[in-house]
Amino acid sequence: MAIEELDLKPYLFDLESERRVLSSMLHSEEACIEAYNSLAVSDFYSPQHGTVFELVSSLYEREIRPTYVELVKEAHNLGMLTSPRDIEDLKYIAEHYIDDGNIKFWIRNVHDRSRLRKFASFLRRNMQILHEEVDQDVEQVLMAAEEELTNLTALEIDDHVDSPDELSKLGYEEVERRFLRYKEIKDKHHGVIPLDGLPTGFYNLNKVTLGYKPGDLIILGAQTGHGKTSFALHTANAIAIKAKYNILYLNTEMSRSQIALRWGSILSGIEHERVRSGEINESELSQIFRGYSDLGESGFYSYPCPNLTPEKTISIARKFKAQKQIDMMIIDYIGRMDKQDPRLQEWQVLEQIVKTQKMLAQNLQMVVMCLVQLNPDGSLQGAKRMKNECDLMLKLSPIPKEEQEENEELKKFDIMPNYALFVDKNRDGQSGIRIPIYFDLQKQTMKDVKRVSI
Amino acid sequence: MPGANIKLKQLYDATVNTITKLHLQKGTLSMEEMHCLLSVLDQVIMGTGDPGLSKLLRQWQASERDEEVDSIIKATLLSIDFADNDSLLRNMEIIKGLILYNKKLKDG
Repeated sequence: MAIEELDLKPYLFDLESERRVLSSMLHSEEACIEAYNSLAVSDFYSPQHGTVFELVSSLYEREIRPTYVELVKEAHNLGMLTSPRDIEDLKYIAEHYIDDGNIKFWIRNVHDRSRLRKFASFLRRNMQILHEEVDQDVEQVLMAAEEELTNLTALEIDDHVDSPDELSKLGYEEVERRFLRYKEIKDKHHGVIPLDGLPTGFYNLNKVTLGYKPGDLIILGAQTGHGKTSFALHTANAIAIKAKYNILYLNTEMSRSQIALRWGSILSGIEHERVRSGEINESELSQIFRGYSDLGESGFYSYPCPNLTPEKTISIARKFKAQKQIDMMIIDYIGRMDKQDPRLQEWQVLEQIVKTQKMLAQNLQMVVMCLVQLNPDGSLQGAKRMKNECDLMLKLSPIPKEEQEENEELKKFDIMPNYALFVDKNRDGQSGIRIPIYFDLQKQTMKDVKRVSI
Repeated sequence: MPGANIKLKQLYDATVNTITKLHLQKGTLSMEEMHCLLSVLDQVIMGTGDPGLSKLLRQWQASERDEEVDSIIKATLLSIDFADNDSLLRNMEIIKGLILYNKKLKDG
């Protein structure tokens, strides 16, 4: 059957639900508040219903309790209620009584039909573009459509307000859960931390964060050539290869083969330079082969993308979330993203990107890690704004040679730490902590250092 | 109408419709009278803090009537600004005084 022949109209509106929402608004203050906060005039298919909603909303905004009486008075004052027919129409709407506790169900019906109508209009408009514009920039047409569709499908963040009762229940459950987990650590795991989220790849970072949690935005800053990609791949190794979760890795700088070669070194423990030049023996080759077998069975999805834009990250993340159920996305790195608007300053672009990624993490309930470049003095451009948006901000930097030689504390580890992870912000726990680690520059691997003396 | 059952909602809506139709369809109520009656209805069914207007109106209806006092009470009722609590209380006091005055008059 051709699309034109399909009668889609019945699916595009639900007048009964519209009447039930309006009736409930007139009879219950709670229902009125709920509908006022969830719907807009444009969500109503019937212009008459839209007008009633507008009048009720206007009363509510003026702090007049929008009862049926007030609606009648308002409509009468505005000259909209002039004949017995008008009062019959209002009566018909008011008579669609509901149990006020069910208001959310009827609101959802109205809202869903409204979104379907927007979708239908999106399809019609794009169909028209295909018909009319012959010399069109395909990339631009697709990106514009993508953006519009993304806005249409954007999940709404639940702005539910907790009652004192709900909050106290939630608080107790959280403490009880942690208490039981603590007991579990003591009894079963002999000190190994069960995490709330994905493993970080570092024992001490796991301890401080309890893992990367769905909805978290993590920012890792490092100077050029100081381990951003190594950190990203170390994270991917812990999560996608060892723990078998699914990860999407976006790289704006490296080619497919460069990324693949990095894994050869990381997973075999053979110096990257030797892997790259092929200066290895046969036993090392089979060692590398075993490493790649692990990669092949892992949940690591790689997307090298030199012209990455914030919009593209949204569409790719949505696609992979739907198709591969990814738990995390790593963007390596955001300073290299293309500017959509050339008039914006660098910090404005970064702020925009970070905001987008936070929303994405929350909407798709996954972890998003963004790698950013630190200035030569260790500072971060637009740091304050980024810090506001993210849940965890880490800075990776080398420990200077002099400190390695002079700091007695650093000598108490099994391996001399040469890098440190500074926890600049941690929404769920302690911050301002410096975690020493060891970064093997030849093998491009990172590992924990263990304290062996006090 | 917190937690109101459907019967109460029906009663409320039907009363609104009747009052409105008496103005729009039959012309037996003026616009001011319609607004006043609708506001009294809201006070009685929706209002959480009726300061005693419905009780006062019942008292008036049960008393021995006088045409002149009735028209003054009606004019007083029509002049109430129901959105202003002071106006409501002030005019209720006037109505209370009028009912008392009428009672004294009838008692001789």
